[in-house]
Amino acid sequence: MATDTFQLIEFDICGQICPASLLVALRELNKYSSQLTDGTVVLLFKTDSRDGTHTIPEAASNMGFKVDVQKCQRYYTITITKP
Amino acid sequence: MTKDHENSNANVDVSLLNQEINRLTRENAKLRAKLGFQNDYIRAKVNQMLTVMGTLPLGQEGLDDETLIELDPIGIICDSFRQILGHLHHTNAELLLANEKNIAILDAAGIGFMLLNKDRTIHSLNQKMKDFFFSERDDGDIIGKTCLELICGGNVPYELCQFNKAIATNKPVRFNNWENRGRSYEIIVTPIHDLDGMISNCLAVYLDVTERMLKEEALRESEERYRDLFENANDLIQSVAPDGRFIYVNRAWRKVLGYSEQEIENLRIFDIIDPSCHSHCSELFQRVMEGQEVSHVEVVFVSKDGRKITVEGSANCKFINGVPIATRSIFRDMSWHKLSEEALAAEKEQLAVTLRSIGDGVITTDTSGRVVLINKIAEQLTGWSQLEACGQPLEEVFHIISEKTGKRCENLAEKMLKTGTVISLDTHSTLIAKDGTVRVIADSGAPICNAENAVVGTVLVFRDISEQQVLETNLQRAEKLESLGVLAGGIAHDFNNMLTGIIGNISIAAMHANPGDLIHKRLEEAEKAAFRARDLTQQLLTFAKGGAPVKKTASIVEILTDSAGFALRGANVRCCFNIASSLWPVEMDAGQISQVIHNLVLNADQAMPDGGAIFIDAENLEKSDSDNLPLPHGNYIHISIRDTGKGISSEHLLRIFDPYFTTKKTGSGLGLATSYSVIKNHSGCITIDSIPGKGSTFHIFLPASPETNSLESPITQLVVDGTGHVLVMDDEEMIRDVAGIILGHLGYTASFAKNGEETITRYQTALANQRPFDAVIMDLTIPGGMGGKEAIKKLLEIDPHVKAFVSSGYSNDPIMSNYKAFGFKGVIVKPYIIEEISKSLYSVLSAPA
Repeated sequence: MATDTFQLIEFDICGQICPASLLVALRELNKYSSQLTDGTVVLLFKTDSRDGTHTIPEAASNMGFKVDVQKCQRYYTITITKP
Repeated sequence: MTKDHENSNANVDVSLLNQEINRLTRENAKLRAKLGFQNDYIRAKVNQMLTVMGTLPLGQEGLDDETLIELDPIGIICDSFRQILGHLHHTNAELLLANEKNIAILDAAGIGFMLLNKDRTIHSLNQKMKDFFFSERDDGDIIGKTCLELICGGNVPYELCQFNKAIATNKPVRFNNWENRGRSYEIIVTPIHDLDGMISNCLAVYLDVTERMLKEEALRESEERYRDLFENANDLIQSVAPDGRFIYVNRAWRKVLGYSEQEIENLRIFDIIDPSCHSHCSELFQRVMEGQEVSHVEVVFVSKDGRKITVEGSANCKFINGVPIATRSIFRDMSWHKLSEEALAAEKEQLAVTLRSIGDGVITTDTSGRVVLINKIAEQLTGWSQLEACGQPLEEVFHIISEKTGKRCENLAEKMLKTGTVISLDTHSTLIAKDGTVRVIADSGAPICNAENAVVGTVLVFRDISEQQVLETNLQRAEKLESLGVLAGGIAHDFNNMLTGIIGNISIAAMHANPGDLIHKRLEEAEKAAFRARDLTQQLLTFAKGGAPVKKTASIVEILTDSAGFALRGANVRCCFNIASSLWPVEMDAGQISQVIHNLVLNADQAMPDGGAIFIDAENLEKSDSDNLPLPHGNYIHISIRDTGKGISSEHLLRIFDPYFTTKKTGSGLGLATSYSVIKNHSGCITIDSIPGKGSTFHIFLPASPETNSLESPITQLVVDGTGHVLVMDDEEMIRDVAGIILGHLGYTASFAKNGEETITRYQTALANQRPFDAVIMDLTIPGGMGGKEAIKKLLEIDPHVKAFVSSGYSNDPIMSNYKAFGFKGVIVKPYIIEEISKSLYSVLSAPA
């Protein structure tokens, strides 16, 4: 049963470029895979790498997660939630 | 150890060490080379994986080997692949499930699906498609074979094959009505492209539209029927859009209003509505657009050529999803109807006027016996207005009972509707009005038949005959009295003559007897008895036709007081008078009226054996239409004599004026009959109100005399002596003798004649001898000879100043009441009474010539 409450975990990977930023994101996705799947955790990555705004969402989507990318003033936020 | 030795040894050690260092350096270089190779391998594999992940390869400057190892990208990527694969597995499972569902849906769908390869061979198909075309085949006989072979039988021209068309155009192709094996299909063939955009397959969808086609055909036929119906209807049918445009009008509409179909396109609804109806129609149109249905709407249309056409109809609106789409209106040209209505209205008005003008009550009913129409007279007689009566059962409004039985009469409408014949009411029917008023009515009724002779209602015509019945009763009474009067008059005439002799002789004999003698007393008794006989004779004569009153204008006041006082002498009943001070005089026979008052007061007295009061009122009355009296308009004296006695039963009330009808043991039955006759002969009327146990009131109405200056007081009888020569004409010797004696007693000398001829002769002779008669008393009728009526004419010729008296005991001749017109100077009624003769002779002979 889905719950409405979740933990938002933020990662600031600004200054990192691909593939490092992707690997960091993948590491955290792997780490929180089960929590993401059951909806208790939401991951938010802050990145200033334009490549990362493509690679990270694509990888997360391939894993079946829902991805939302928003542009802020100096970085992007990539929010990954349960499918 | 020596120094050299030591040196030598040191050199060896260095050499070895160097060798070892070199070896180690080489070994280190090898190891480094090997590690570098391994790191490069790892980095290459990591990069390969990263490439698979779709990202950039690792840069040497971005991530050193140590960090790379520490980061463990391979582990990360492997874990990620595991997740990705897991997700793909899950997705695949869902896809497989979805595929199963889709197959189930497609099989369950009423549409046939068939996937064809590019070479037209069948790749797959759903159950419905099998049902359509391959119910006898297994999948093995279908898959891999061409549709041309299996479905079209291999004989479809290339250009008509929808598959070929779809391939050729690279677009979906639709074929609406493809017939195959007796059924109709709608086919859609859609090309399916591979990743290179090339057509790999075609999906053919088959929809069995046989039923739909049949329904559409039926619908077309139905539409055609409706169109035919609308187009050939005589009524005007129109459909208008919310903006006022005409969507449809039928042929009758176009014909009546004169517009062509092309012209309709540019018309708006208010173009054809007369301006006088615009406001009303705008409101109606708005109501229709809001969903109301309006009916019986009357509108004036204006045709193309300007004619005004009155139409009546109804309208409503078609809505789709709550939005008004079009009105639906049907109107009928009422122009001719209007004319018919006007004609009908005129006819109805004429009928209404006729009904109002009819003096009889008229009620019509429908076939259920309920009132449809009731005219004014019927409203007055029944007390029901048209509004109240309409729709009510006839017996409710027309409540009639039998006068004889008091029971309700049968329902006339029901009887007429049942028998279909004209009926007449029982003549003794009584109508009871709504307010309880009772009226005797005459009535007849008839069924109303239409042009097909079917009964559609009834009509009842009736009139109030209460007054007529009173008149008829009076007439019957008068006829009864007349017949009795003839008899009574005849008897009285002879009897009077006899009494004249009896009374005269008694009077004369009494004159010759001493007042104190026994004989004088007996003579007085005999005279009283004779007077009673005379009174009886007078009564007989009075109610007899011949009892014409000898009228003189006089006040009735003294007659009322004297007669009442006389009648009540010795009675235990008192009389209360209420007489108007300025009572009009009456032209009357004072004796007869006195007799009437006497009779009525006597009756009242006898009705109150235990005593009481009689109330006698007299007033002036101007008769109008509202009085229910059988008298002409004019001025009357109304006298009422009321007692508080036992009253008269309704049974007796109808007969009290009949002669010889009496409820008293000692009554003659002539008192009220005489009174009735007297009043009638005075052109008046007498009525009675009586309530058993409460008393009775007699009402007398006598015409007031226009004369006011010649009032005469009632006659007071006095014996007045005179002188002169009197000629007496009578056929009866006894009368002549008595007359002679009386006249002699009064101081006159008498001569006699038996008839008119002799009278004339004697009068002429006396005149010629210079000894004329001072007066002549002539019997009115002489059996077998000339009576007074003819003789006076001759005498007047001989002597215009002749002072003649007419004498009779039977005053049936108008001469007795109107003697002056015939040339007589006075009247002497038989039997002769000395006082009367003396007074009459004196008044005439002493008057100036």
